[in-house]
Amino acid sequence: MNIMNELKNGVLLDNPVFMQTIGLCPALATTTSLSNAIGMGFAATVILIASNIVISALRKFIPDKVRIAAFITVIAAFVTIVDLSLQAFIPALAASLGLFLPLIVVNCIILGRAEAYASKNQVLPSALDGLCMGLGFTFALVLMGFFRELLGAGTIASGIISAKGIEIPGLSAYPATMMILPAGGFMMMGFIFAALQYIMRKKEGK
Amino acid sequence: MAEKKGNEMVRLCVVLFLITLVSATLLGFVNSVTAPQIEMNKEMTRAEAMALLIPDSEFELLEEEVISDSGAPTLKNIYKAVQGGETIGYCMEALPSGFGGELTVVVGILKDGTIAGAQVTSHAETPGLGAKSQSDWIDQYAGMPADGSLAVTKDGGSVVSITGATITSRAVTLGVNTAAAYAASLE
Repeated sequence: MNIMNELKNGVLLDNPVFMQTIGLCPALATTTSLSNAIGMGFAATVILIASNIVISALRKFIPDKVRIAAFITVIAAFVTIVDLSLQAFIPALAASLGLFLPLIVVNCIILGRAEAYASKNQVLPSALDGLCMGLGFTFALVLMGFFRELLGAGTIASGIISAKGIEIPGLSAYPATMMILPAGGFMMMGFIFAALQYIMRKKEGK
Repeated sequence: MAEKKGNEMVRLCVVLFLITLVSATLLGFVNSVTAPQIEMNKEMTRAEAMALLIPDSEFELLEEEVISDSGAPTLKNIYKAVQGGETIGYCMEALPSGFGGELTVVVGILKDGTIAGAQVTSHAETPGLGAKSQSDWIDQYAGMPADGSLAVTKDGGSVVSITGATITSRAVTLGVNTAAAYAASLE
């Protein structure tokens, strides 16, 4: 088990959003700003690690026939715990993520990793897999959130550095608002897919 | 064979039952820890908004909840603002439906028939569009007449909508109007 290799896989070669194309719905919905992207990525990573650990520990105890029901129960429990904790202790983040936080339950990355990896591997590798896939998901969200916010609102990191973030002169006065609307999300995702494919192919060609 | 199948059914049920039992117990525990904190956070946001709208006053709770039967937004936590023993206005939360769900708008209404101001304390609107209802856009309500007649410019009123978020602007305006109408009925 090579940690660097796993990390490279999770973030780049096997990135859940860009390469496996799963978890696209939250990747479109929560990337309207960098701060939302980081918040969503962080919450999903925590839940992914926790659910991978528990599901891996229980993998011999859970009968095959009811495994999906069991997985979803475990995942839903963790999501609710994170949701309630954020509402209680970081209310600002909970308010900005809103409905997307409880919807992590149906994020197919989490169920996907539970089914594809955690239910067949030991606890420690499963935790690592959760971490790497979570970071890959976060990386994808951050990339999309950064560019969508930059083009759609003309700011960088609003709500992180300061309430308004760094305003780009000219762009913040006349932003391309469409980029933070759903249509802009699909467009940005397409651009990033294309760019990554281009880079990957160039590397292979060498 | 039949017996084996029965056994398997029992095992499936027991395992699922155990998992849900442990999950539910854990959730019950987390809820008991976080519920008071969440309630406190909400109260703090409300108190901050009210102090901003009608400063330097004491707030007395009049009514917990008023549900309208004609489809108008529900009003919650209606407070009387008292300054030096005299009632100078009212503060309350209106819950109109916006684009992404229910908004919580804290509205302050002064006794002289004008709106002291409004604050959106919780919402599920689109970031960059409807979410701008939490910016200084909302300041325009201050000083407008509190007779329930406000409307956005598109509907022939004087409230300037947020660009690209007319539904949110209408919702906030409806919340302010409902609160104003109720405040007028209190006098």
